[in-house]
Amino acid sequence: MIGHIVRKELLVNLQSMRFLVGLVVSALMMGIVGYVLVEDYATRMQKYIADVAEHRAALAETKVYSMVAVDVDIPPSPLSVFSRGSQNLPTTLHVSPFHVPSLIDEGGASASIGLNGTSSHADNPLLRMFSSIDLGFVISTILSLFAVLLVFDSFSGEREQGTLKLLLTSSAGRVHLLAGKYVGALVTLAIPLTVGFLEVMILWALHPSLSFDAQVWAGVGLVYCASLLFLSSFLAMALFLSLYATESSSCLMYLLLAWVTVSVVIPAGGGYVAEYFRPKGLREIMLSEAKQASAHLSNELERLNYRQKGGWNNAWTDWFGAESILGLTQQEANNRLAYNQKVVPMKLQYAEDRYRVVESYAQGLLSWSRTREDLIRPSLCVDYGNVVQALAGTDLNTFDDLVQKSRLYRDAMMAYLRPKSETSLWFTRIFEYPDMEPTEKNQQYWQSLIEKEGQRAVEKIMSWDRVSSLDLTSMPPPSVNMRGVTERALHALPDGILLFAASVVFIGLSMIRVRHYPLN
Amino acid sequence: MLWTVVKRELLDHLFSLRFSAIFVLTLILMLTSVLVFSARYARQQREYPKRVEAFVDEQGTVNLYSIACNSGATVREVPSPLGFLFAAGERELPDQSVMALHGLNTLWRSTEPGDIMDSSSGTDWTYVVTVLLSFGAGLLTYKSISGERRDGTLTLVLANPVSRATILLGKYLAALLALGTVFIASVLAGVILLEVLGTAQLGGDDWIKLGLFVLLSMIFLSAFVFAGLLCSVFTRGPVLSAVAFLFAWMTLVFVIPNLGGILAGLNGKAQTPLQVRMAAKEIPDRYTLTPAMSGEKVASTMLERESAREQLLLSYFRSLVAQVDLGRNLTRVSPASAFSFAAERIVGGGTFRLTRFVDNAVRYRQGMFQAVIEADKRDPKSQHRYVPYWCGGDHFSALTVDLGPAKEFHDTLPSAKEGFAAAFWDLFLLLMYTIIAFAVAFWRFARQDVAPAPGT
Repeated sequence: MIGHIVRKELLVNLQSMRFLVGLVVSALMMGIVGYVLVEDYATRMQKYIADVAEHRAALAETKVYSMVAVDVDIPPSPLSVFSRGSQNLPTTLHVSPFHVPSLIDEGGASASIGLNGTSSHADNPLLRMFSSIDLGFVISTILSLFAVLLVFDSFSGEREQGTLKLLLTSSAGRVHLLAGKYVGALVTLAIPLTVGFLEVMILWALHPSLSFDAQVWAGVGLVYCASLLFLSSFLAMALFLSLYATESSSCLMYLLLAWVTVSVVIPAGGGYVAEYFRPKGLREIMLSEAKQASAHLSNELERLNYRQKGGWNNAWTDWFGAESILGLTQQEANNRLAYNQKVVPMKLQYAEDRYRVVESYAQGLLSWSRTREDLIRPSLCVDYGNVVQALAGTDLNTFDDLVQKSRLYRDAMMAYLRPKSETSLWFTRIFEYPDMEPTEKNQQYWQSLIEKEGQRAVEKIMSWDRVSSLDLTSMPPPSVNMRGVTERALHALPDGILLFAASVVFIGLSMIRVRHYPLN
Repeated sequence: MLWTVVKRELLDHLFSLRFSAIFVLTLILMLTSVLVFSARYARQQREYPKRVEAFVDEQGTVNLYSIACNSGATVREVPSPLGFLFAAGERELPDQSVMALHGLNTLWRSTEPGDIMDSSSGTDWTYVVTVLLSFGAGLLTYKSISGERRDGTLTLVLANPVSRATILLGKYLAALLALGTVFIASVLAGVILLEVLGTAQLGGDDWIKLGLFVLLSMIFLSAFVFAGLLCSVFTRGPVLSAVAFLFAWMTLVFVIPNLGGILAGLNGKAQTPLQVRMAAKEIPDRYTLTPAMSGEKVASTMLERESAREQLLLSYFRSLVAQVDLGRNLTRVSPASAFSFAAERIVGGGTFRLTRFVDNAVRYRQGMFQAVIEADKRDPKSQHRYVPYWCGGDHFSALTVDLGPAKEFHDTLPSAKEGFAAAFWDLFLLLMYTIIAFAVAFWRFARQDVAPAPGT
């Protein structure tokens, strides 16, 4: 019996004007947004590849161990077409002996306009002021609106036309009728959804530089299922609310108000309310603790009272001026070596201490941001957004995971580097290139260059090209893996369950309510 | 006669559920935005420094000896007391400038670390008007013609000695008045809340800006009321007009404004950061130093280099702004975009405000530079040679002096008058959209068959 009702509903829906308009609009929107985001992904992928090459080249040119710095680039997620994620997240994590990557200490993506840029891609930081939309947004606003339009008159309309009585005289009960209408609408909604997904896949297939593995396709499948689940829960909610109105056009109005509340007011307002509860004082604590740690290090260094020739001694890293690397005399280098054995462990310890301070602040903020998410969870659109974000791997959680992994990588790297810090290779190559020991004549020349050209002269003095690069092949290669599709699915599960529960609850409530729906 | 129509319609609206619902939602969002704004504003004000550290020490004096080497002085944007009106893109834009005395280095935004966790867009009043109240305009009007036509009451109404234009105008005025009631009541509530909280003190100019913002919002809403009427006139029944309005609303409010960034990226040409860096690297070759140069010549050549670098930075910045503006020009086909740009200008936000800040920063730097040079001239021990990045020696004064007012950075927001002038074309555009929508609706309604269509 339900089959008959579903078929009838489906046919009625498919022939209606609203279906046609909705299909065209959603196909158009998903096509445009999909095109733009696929292009955007391709550009970011190119930038990622260029960055990886650039960073690898930079690492290969390292000449002393204290300057080993690995930039771990985060590949863009192909599923970002569905959920763009925060644009403020950095795309590169810096790992070095003196810097432990942490969730909020990377700062790479802040809007900055200067003359030291390295990116070869036109990247206008001001463009970020435009909010960007993704397919998840299109589905959660346009298709949910579509769901409202499909069901708002499913009972009131039949009642107004007098066909409800007729329907109920057949052997089908009210519950069957409800189930039939629900399934019919869901199948109808699945059509524009499928069309949208097909559009994205066609765009992917047509793009000359993109190819994907099975993981990505599995991810797409999961996003599709999540979207269907979201639409089913929204549909159930709309159907339930529609049972409270007896006149079609007023019913439409109530539903639209509900829609605007769920898709606009709760996500925007709730997130904003949480802003009010942003933990106060955490930042001040972090800053004062960080200051303390750096003051401690400075004091310790002061106490050792070591003065490098030229006086330049960077307390927080171990990088010296060019003079220190090639301009050291062998005698000075020997002094430095003895000094380093005391100082380098301190500096490395400082990096760890600083990391702990910053990370505890980050975790405080993260837990606040989770509270905020909980605050807006009553909105189905938010739940859906969370699911897609987790599946696409563009959420904060995935980023945090990457940061943790890069920190583990740093541990492995340090296991390799720590012994090197006790050798002269940590800071100089003068023992290998004794002919570069500064002669009186050299030093005069350098001094005159510095006076004339300031900072630029330093670059000239550092005639790096004469010094061979370090052999870093035995250092563990940078390896930070993105989460696999199963892991991402697991993280998306809680919100998915919420969506499922919402569907079940609303259908159940509708079934109770439909028994009392007035016929006249 | 017009007023009879308006009165009837208005009473209809005021007692309807949709009116109360829109009212409640608007009120909640607008009050929330004031609450959140005042918390943030208090923080920003605490952080906004008058003293430019790195140039001026804690006693308010300037050490001339080291000033040529200080390239990390930071000036910040002054927080706007009207931040609750417009804040949307603001948090993505640079808000401070790092400079040396001889030139601006960078424009950037310090990464307030929590910002990476902010994915929600700001709910400012502009957002409430563009999204919620425009939606309300549709709710109040979508069935005003098509509904009456379906119910058959339209023929009855027209049987009275009343012209069609009067009916259309009456329905328009009633909906606009109802929306105006919601909006202005919420504005009043918001302003009272702001005064009670007392964090932001509004000056005379701010009240004018607020007034202009309210006026602008009403013009915008009137365009949307007409859009609703247009949908109502062109469709057979209320359901279809609702659908038509929803799709129009969706396109105008969400789709087109969001395309701006994309269009700008596709069409505009901006230099890549690498190109700019390369251009900066070439500057020293244009102003070469030779060993035979006199001290004065070296100093002036190096200053020229720095000023060329600053010029490069500023022209790069202007090209970026131009790219953004290009994208925006294309999105102005939507009244929602035109409205938010006009609001941005009137309130003093976005790239308009950023450009002003950069001008202020450059002016401050130049004034400070002049003051430092003047102070140096009074020192007989100095050779009066300011050389960028050279400190120490006797080529420049070693005194520590108080420079008076030149040492303080005062960022000013654009005045209401300037904002209005900058927003003029957007205002004009909004009025045009209103008039066009009215003309089309009237043209169609005047020729319409008012009998209920068969089968609806």
